[in-house]
Amino acid sequence: MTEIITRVDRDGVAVLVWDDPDRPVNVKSAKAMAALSDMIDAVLADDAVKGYVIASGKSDFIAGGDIEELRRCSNPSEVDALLNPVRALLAKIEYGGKPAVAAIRGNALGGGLELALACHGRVAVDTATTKFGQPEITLGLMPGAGGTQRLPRLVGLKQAMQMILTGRAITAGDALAFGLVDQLTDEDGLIDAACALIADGLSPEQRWTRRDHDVDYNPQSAAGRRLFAMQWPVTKARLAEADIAQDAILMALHHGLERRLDAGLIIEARHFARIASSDAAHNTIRTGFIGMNELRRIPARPAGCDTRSFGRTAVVGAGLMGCGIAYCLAQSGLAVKLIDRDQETVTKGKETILRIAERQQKTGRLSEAGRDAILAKIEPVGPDASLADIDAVIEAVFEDKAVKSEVLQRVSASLKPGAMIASNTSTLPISGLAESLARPDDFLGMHFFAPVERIDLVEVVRGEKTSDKTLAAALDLVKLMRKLPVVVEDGPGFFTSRVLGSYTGEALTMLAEGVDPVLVDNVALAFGMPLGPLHMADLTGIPVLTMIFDSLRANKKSMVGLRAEEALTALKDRGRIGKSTGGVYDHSNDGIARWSGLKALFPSNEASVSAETIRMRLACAQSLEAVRALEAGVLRAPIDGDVAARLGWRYPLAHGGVFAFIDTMGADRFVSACRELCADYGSRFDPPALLVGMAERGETFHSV
Amino acid sequence: MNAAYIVDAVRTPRGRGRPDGGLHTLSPIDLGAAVLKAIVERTGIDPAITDDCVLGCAETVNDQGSNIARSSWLYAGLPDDVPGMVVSRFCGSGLDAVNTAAAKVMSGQADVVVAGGVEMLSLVPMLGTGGPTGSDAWFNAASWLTPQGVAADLIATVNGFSRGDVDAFAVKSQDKAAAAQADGRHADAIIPVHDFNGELALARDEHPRPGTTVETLAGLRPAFAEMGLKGGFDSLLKRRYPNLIGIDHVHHAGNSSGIVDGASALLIVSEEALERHDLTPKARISGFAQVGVDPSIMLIGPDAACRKCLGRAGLDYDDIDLFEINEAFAAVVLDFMKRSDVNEECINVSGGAIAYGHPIGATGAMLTGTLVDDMARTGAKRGVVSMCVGVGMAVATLLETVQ
Repeated sequence: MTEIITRVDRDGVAVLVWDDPDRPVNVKSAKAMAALSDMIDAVLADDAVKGYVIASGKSDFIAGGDIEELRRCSNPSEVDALLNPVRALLAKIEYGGKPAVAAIRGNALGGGLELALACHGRVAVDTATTKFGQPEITLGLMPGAGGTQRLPRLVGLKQAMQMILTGRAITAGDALAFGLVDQLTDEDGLIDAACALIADGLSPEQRWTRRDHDVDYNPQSAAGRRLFAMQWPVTKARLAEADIAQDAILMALHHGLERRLDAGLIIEARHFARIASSDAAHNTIRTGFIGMNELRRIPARPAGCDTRSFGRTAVVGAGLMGCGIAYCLAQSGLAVKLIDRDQETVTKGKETILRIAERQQKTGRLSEAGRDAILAKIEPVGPDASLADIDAVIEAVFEDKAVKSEVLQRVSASLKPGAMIASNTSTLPISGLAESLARPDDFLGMHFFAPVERIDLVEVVRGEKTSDKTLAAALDLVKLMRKLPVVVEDGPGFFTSRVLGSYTGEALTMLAEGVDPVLVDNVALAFGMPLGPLHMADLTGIPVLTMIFDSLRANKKSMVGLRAEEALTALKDRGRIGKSTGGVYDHSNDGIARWSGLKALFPSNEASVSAETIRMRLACAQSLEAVRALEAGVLRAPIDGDVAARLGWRYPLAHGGVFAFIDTMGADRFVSACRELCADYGSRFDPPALLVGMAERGETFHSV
Repeated sequence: MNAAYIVDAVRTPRGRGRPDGGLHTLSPIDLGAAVLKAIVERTGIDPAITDDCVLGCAETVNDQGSNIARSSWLYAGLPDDVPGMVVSRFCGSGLDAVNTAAAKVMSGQADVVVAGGVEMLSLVPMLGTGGPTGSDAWFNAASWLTPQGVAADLIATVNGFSRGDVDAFAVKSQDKAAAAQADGRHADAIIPVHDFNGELALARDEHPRPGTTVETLAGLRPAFAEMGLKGGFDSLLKRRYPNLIGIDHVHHAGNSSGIVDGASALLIVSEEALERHDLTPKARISGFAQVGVDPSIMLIGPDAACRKCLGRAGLDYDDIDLFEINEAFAAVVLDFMKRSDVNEECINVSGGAIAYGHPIGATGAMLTGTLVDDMARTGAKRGVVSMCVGVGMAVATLLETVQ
């Protein structure tokens, strides 16, 4: 069997090449750590060797630890037990008495960078694929093997703070400029340069062990204090209250950097143990990483269906949604016919697409060439255009059953058999729309989210008659568009509109009760939602919401005591239909302001509702509806719902999602909370049998 | 309990807290020594019998560090056998120094105490000492870190004070200060400061801007809007005050206390010391109190501190003729008026920190001296000094005339 680490000695320098034969990347597994540790022991004991180089045989340097192992730690001491061998190995490198150089090609991220930081020198290949970063925060974590301590001692606090708080990686060029690496080389010169550094007398002592070593922006300097004081509120204001890793990073940086390294490492380990075993990190990892990766593999794709290839596609309806969908299709390299009732409308549609492209360009997501390529793929045509050569059509006309049925019938009649036809609808049941079609088996729902070019989620809705082949084709198309599909069964509001409807409905109910909308929205913001539900209601528009609640009425249980329609009607009767006219709020370029007429419309409730009650009403409304959808068989698995909530309406990752929220609280506590809400606000909060059973048996939706 | 009497009060003029300010080239011990020498000379007391020298200083670091009270006393050439201590409670430090000195006398543990304060904001800025506020993430969360200016804007927002309201208040402060400077009513308490060659450094408060109008103030941009909006504080405050749709940023340099340098000193003695050393008291310190309030809105404490102080003395607001409520920001005093229902005519009759400036740790003793003088001038029987303090605190002191 091939060894994980091989050693070749060159002129008194041992070159250790890490190349795990069992894995595509070098992971800091227990086995690999032990192999490296043994190898370093041998090198340190070998009098013929004066130093050593650590390199990778893979295209990237070293990846971090095993996230699966880490996310199973449920208390701080388990985290320490997992990390301590790694920390001991890094200490052995750092204090071993012989100079060590990391020879870096490709990504040195997370645990990989931490290994490089424990070395006394770093040499890297100067290519675009060489990147340095501490991305732990994107998983709700923080560096746990010295990243918060050695990185700032090397590159300064200001730079390290940005890297660790944002998780963004830096290029090889920046790494050299910041002092993170000592030298850049070309591909072939890497090992030579690393060996030369040792031959030239690299010290086996870290610079931060010297008495006179100081860090710029030292936490106890005026500049350092200002740096921390300015960073904290900016960071905190963007977070959900449940996010805890950012504070822990700032604490480890602050209190670690004003002490010697070893004390700093203890402080970092203490924070890491708490963070890595926290619900917030577990939720973030499960939904944001494991769950999304799982769904990207499309587990709901029916087995045995050939991969569908698409040449020409069409989008019917050149409104905002249609244009967004057409943009994404074209970006995937597909030819798109953009169809609407007349040439003027589709020409305007193409202008809308140009504006989308320009916005993407401005934020660096699209090049000029990319923009031109996208626009060239889109052909705006009138309603009589031939669809004979089209492989897939997505209808995105006005959300009205009669309008959609008429369009779908006309489109399907001119399509070749087997061409996929999808309706982009947020609420209209697919099986109902299918009734007017000649080939309902070729038809299904594809619910995109605005802005389409920015939101990765597509809710793929299987109608009663949708064939497996059609479902597979739709999923292939979503994959081609580099979006993430969640497959759901048909029903009023499918999954996302159903859950979001309950959430918005609860907020509108509070409005009708006379609760201050600002209070409702601020509570939602603190929970971690990007926008308050009533502010969002104005942006969606009161008439659209009225239509959505109209279709959701079939979910009878969820509507008991809901006063959403009452609130919507009252607003509409006053001519308050949304952002343009003013809705719940007045709107201007300065943002939202209170509407003076609101108090008369919904007389304020004397028995005011506490922020905590509002928080629970908004959270439970979503989670309960999600459980009802799961119980009704709309959803494949809870993780689908959590990922959909994250991607669809930016549900805060620290809470995991609509199902994880229940797990975090504990089903028993959640059920009792719902029963209290049920007594106070109506039986829409009555916990369903599935949940009551789980509470009794102490079960959770997610096992890890 | 023994009575504590104020024999005399002196202060330096307040110099602009900038590199071109009249006091900037001097050192904190220069200012401390100047007021200590003056209080000893003017009262004629034998300095050696002084039991303690208690000075307030908010930022006790660098040249203001390591016990500026003991340093100033020795630097003034006063006897070695008098010790010194520093009192630090941010903006309340100077008033707390007065209260601490009074407490020593009231409890019978001292007969003669010098109290006062020193602060050179031109040299050591606010927050210059450091501490967990601002830099420690968990403490920031626990204390709802809010910059003082944003807290003052929050007070205005919660109360509905408009930009016009706070600016109008600022203009009145300038007008009252201008009148006070014109008739020289406090000239006797101000010690001109000289350098070591005997050249005059500063003889007059240099911060007031007489002739300020609401129109001239209208041109100033809100000072804390960017900090609040882009700096993230407004969003965080909405978590603490979830009924707020936003913060109305109304404060600016013209309606906030000025940044200045200065020092102050008072002589506080027991009844026995009055008789033994043949001293004439100007007023009696009849009580004091301190409170804590929500640290995020921070500056609303003067009313609670006054009520606590008056309640202990068996008095209420109607019994008080004059108030000195430190003008940290215009909204602080407007908020005090709203909470206390005290008539504006009784508050800060000679203007306040918006006009004169606020040399943090020195201000409390300055306001005490100002109130003593104004009580004598107007024939007032009782007066109260109160100051809001950072991180949600406030201090108050009750003075009475001596029959």
